[in-house]
Amino acid sequence: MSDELNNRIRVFRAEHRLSQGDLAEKIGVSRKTISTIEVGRFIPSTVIALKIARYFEVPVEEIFSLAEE
Amino acid sequence: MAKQTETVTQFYERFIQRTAVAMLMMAFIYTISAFALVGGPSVAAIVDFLDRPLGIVIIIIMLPVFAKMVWLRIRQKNKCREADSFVAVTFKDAASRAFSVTFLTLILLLALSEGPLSDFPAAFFINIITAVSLATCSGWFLYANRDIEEDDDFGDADDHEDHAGNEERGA
Repeated sequence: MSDELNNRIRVFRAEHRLSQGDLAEKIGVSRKTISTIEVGRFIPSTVIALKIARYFEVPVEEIFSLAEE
Repeated sequence: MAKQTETVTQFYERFIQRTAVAMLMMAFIYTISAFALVGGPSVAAIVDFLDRPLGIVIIIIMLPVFAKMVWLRIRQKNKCREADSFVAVTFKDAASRAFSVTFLTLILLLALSEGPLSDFPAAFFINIITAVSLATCSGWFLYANRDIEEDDDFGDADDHEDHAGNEERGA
């Protein structure tokens, strides 16, 4: 589903000692949504991507990036 | 025994999942109803036997979550809608696939209704189309939502590097 999009959500979660459920609750989505984004099965909407970035207080491109060709 | 609190988002996803299960059961009811129309009294008796219990099960599955959904919409309005979630997006995808399959089935049944199935009643075709539509939507949704429970740990320290999700866990 998302061979084109890399993400570092797991890295940021580890740094902040957050479970998927914790992060999901903080940004108002379900754990399943976070889980599927994290494993690359689901490409998040712009709104969800921005919410995640805002929560971790980093630019969105630090979390999400296009995969190299 | 503490009961874990369900967030609005989690409830919304549960609502969609139950809707998909109910749709699959309805598809089954429409299918057997279609064959009851052309299968004679013995098939009709089986349908009569199954129809009501399945309908009751659907009501039992859907009524509590539907009532809670209405209540949430009254109380919190848009807060119970999470249009961007994985489950919601998957359901929309399933609905669009169901539309395509339904359309193709309509064309097929149209051809059959003018040929070998010309003696069949219109209700048969309507039931079949409805069943195909419901089964495709719910079936695709449930298939797309299979086995997506993932580990929820923080990973090791040396795991702190960029990763493409589908490489790490073989999604």
